[in-house]
Amino acid sequence: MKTRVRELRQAAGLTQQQLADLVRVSSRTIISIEKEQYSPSLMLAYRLALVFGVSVEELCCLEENKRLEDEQFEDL
Amino acid sequence: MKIYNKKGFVAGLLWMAAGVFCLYQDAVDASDFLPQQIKSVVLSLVMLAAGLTCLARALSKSASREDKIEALDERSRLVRLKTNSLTLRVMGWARVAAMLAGLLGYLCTENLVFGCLFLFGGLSLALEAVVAIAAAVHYETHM
Repeated sequence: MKTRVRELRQAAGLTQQQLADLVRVSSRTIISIEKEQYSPSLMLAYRLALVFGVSVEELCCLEENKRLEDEQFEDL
Repeated sequence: MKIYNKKGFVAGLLWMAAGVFCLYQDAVDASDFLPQQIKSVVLSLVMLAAGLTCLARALSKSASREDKIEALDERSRLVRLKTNSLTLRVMGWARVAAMLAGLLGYLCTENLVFGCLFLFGGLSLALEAVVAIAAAVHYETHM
């Protein structure tokens, strides 16, 4: 799933390890989220959103991701 | 000195005990075959090193925090689940292959060893199916 984690982390001047420590996950989880290989759980998304001071909707690009998912279902 | 990770501490003690026991066995009941002796001593030293590492991590606050985060990390848990699932699937197919080989071997040679291979493969697959049904019922009702 596409997220704005990398963009917001870089804007906040945090390293992946620092962000991982703040939200109590491993740095590999942050790396995977940034590479769009792993979708964070609702609680992790909320923790990340709190760190960056944005909404979960904004952090996880929910509108865009929903549109992409809907397009996949339209093919069925 | 405070123990921050009790599980890790116990694991460290067990590894150390196993390493010391193996070293003791090597000393008391030494093999005449040198390569075997070396292999055994190296294995014991690896166990001792693993035990020491576990103990040191269990006594360190920052290392214990790292271990706890790693254990509770949601991605790591998903990776473990997926790894177990794939392992189970691959082993299932391996058992089916072993069963077929056993059946074929028994039909061709009438050797009971092949018959047993077929039988135990079939039994383990049946047991797996029963466990899968029980697990599915459990999770369907508890999730």
